[in-house]
Parts: sequence; structure tokens; C-alpha cells
Amino acid sequence: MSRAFAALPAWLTSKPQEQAIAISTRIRLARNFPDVKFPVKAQRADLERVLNRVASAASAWRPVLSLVRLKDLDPIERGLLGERGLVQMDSVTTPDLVGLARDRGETVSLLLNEEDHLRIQVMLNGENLERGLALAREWDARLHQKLVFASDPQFGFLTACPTNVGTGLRASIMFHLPALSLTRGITQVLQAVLHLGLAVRGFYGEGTELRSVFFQISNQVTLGRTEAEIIQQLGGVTRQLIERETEARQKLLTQERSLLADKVGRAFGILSGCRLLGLEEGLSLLSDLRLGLDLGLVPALKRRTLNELMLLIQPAHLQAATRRVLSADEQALRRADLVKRRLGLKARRAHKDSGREKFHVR
Amino acid sequence: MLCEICHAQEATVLLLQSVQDKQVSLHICEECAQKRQLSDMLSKPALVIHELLASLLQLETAHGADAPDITCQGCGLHYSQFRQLGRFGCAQCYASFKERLLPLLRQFHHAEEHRGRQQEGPREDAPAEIARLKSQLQAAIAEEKFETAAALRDRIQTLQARSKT
Repeated sequence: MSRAFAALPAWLTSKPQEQAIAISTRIRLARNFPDVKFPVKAQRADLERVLNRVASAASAWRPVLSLVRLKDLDPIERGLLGERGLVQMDSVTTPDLVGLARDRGETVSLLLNEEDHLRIQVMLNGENLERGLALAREWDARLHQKLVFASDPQFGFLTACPTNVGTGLRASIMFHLPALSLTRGITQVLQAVLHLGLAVRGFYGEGTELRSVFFQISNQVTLGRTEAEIIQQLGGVTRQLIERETEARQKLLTQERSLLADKVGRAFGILSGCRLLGLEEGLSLLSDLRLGLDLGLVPALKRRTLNELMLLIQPAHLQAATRRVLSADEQALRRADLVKRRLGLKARRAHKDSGREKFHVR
Repeated sequence: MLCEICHAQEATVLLLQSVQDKQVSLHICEECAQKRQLSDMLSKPALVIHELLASLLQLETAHGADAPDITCQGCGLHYSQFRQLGRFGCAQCYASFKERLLPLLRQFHHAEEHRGRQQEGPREDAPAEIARLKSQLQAAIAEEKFETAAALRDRIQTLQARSKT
């Protein structure tokens, strides 16, 4: 793995909050320049201007932020950025002119020339909306000392897509809602969230069965509300979701304790015995362990280890650890190995390369 | 008839979907219908928000197909291209396509006026900025665009207050 990406993001390794139902907070401010065409219409020279302009404005903070251009990264490294949520590869128009400036912990990053000229991104652990917004604003103000952004008295900050216009603010929280999912309460709860005008994305669900336990909830409206109002609404929904999930967990714990213990025990069993582990299955089993840990059904497991594994078992992270492209089968083999090793489960067939794994934490 | 998904409950919902241009009908129960609807919504890999915009734009195409195309002076983007891309080509597009954009903003954001933080101009430029905003304000009043005028008035007051400190 290249040294630039050897460290895991700080939001993942920093001390997790008590209840891990809200996993992480993401804040994004979209900004553009008034005198440069937006990425869908821009020429290469226009996008170069954006890179140079922001690089020179941010140079005052070079020890804090370092700029990489996506064209200088190999496909595995680009994949890492996608898996860490720093770049959404599906909306990139001219990938080789996309730039990313990050601080060391990837708490603050500036994404350049993706859908908008500039996106200020903040990633924090747990429910951390207010601090996230404050950090994003701080960077917005710093950059604005040297740069003028496209804005309009009526429409606010002008963005490439009118769904972001106004504040340019998208605030998201990633949730782990296994008990609501198990007790079938999730449909009702998420429909209520959608009715409030918030956007919901499920992760790692499959087929017609609603299997997902990880959900990202974001504000959809960016115009006509203040930044504080947007954050407050999402914060309120977050508290309610945490409450509902906690209730569902307590209900399971009192009424279906053996079912829960069985689920957690099976997860341990499969993870200890498996030789090949797919990504979805791995995440689903880690989710079971995570629930077990929250409810005190699992002895001596660190939440941090579970959180880190959720990222480390993703394809680009597995390949980065071995520094080469792996087939799906090789990934499944290494994924199984990595999980066993990190969870301290007996790995009967250790891999030759396993000593080279870069993310040793304990 | 039993639900064709869970085979356990009575089918009460007829789900019609087009799969590769073929109409497929499924007789399913209420519970499976809800799950199906939700998982369809969630399983899409990305960008629920962009999809919503795309469907609003499709709706607009259906209603306003005869409206003349407009071109942005700033970047040469045609409004018809915007409808396909869902993205603007430059900051001026907002002014160029304003009349078409306002209904979209009302549908999507339920608003057409920014209420959040405004960009603070560099302090030394405040008098010039205030003069510019005042002329915009006059124009807005002349055109009876009172919401815009109110936003401009607030902005001018903020700038005046700040330049005194």
C-alpha cells in the first residue's frame, strides 16, 4: 500500500461514542467559481485553473492539507478513496482532472472538479453534525479569504446541480439499525423519514428482501432553509432513530434473547470456520457481531476493530494491503483470513503474505 | 391467491413493473409490497436525489414540450441539454434559465429563495458591492419581484452593518 493511504481515516479510529447506532457524520459544502465553466461544460484548461487556484489558496495550509490528482493515483488507490466516501466515482466527468486535498486524518478534505468545482467535506464519527458544520464553515471562510465563489442574492451558492443550490450543504449520517431491521420496524420508520423530505440510501442490501442494516440519511432540501435548520432537522431525526433502534434492541433482548444469542454465535461460528468470505456476507456477519457487542452478548471485542474491518474488507482496501490486483476468489480468501486474524479467531490456514498486512492496530 | 413472493399471505396488491420493455405483473401481499417498494428505492446504487430531479425533469418535458429552447449566454448550454444532464454549465445558467428553473426549485426544495448564510464580500469592496446590490434592488422593485427585493434589502443591511464595524 502506498504510504499516502496507509493510515485509516480518523473518524474510524477515533474513540467511538457510547451508542454506536449513528456510525458517522458527513458534511459537504458545494462551491463553484463564477468565472469558470462548471465541469460538464469545462475544457481541460478550465479545470486546470480550478486545481491551480485552490492549490495556491490552500498552500497557506500545506502542512495540513495535501493535494493529490486522481490521475497520479493507480486504480486501487482511487478505489480506496471511493470506499472511504471521499470521491463518488459515478459522478466524475473528467476523472484525471479531479483533485483531492486531505488532512492527515481525512477529517477535512477538498474535492475538486467532480460534480462541482469545489466540495468541502468533513467526516466525523458518531452523530457530530454541529461540529461537522462548524469545521466545514471554518474551511469555507478560510478559502474565501482568497477566493470568490459563485453566489446570488436570491439563490445563494450556485451549484452544478440545482438540487444543491442555496446552502450547498449536504449533511448525512450513517446508521446501523439491525434491530429495527430484524423486528420489521424498519420499513415504517424509513418511510416516515422519507415523508419528512430526507433522502435514504441503504447499503449492502440485496434482492427483494430488505436485508440492509446500514442506512445513510441525508437532507434533500438545500434551498430556503438555513444551515442550522437543516442540521437541526437531521439531528432530530437522528435522535428519534436512535431511540427507536434502542427500543427494538431492548425488546429483542427481553423477548428474543436466545434468538439474538444464536445470531451472534452463528456469526462467530461462520467467521471462525470460513475459508472464503464474500463482501456482503462479511458485512452482514460483522453487523451481527456489532449488535452483539452493543448488547453485551460478545466478550472481549473492540468496537474499533469491528468498525475498521467494515472498511478493510472492501475490495480496494484488501488489494491495497497486498499491493496488487486480486481476483474475486483471492479477495474472498484474504477477506476471510483478515477477519479471523483481526478478531483473534483461530486461523488454521494463515496466509503467506499476512505478515505484510499494513493496518496493524492493536 | 397467495402472495407470489412470500407464499404465505393472501395477495392483495397487484404490482405492475416493466422489465426490459415487458410488462410483468406480480400478485403479492401488503407486507411484501411495502418491502419491495422500499428495497427498489434503496437498492439503486446511488443518488436518490438525482433520480428525483430526473423524474421532475421528465415530467417537465411531458408538459412543456412545445416551449422554445433557451441557450445560456455564459456557456452555450441549451436548456434541453440541462434537462438531459441535470447539471448546469456555469454560474450564469441560473440567470439564463431562471423562469424555467423556478418551478423546478419550488417542486424540489419547496422554496425559491436562499435563507442560509450569504457569501461575505471582501470588506474593502463593501461600498461597491452595496451600490451593485442597490441597483439590483431598484430593478427588482420595478419588476415587482418583491421576494427578491426583500432578500436584496436584507443583504444590503447586513453589508452596511458590517462595514460600520
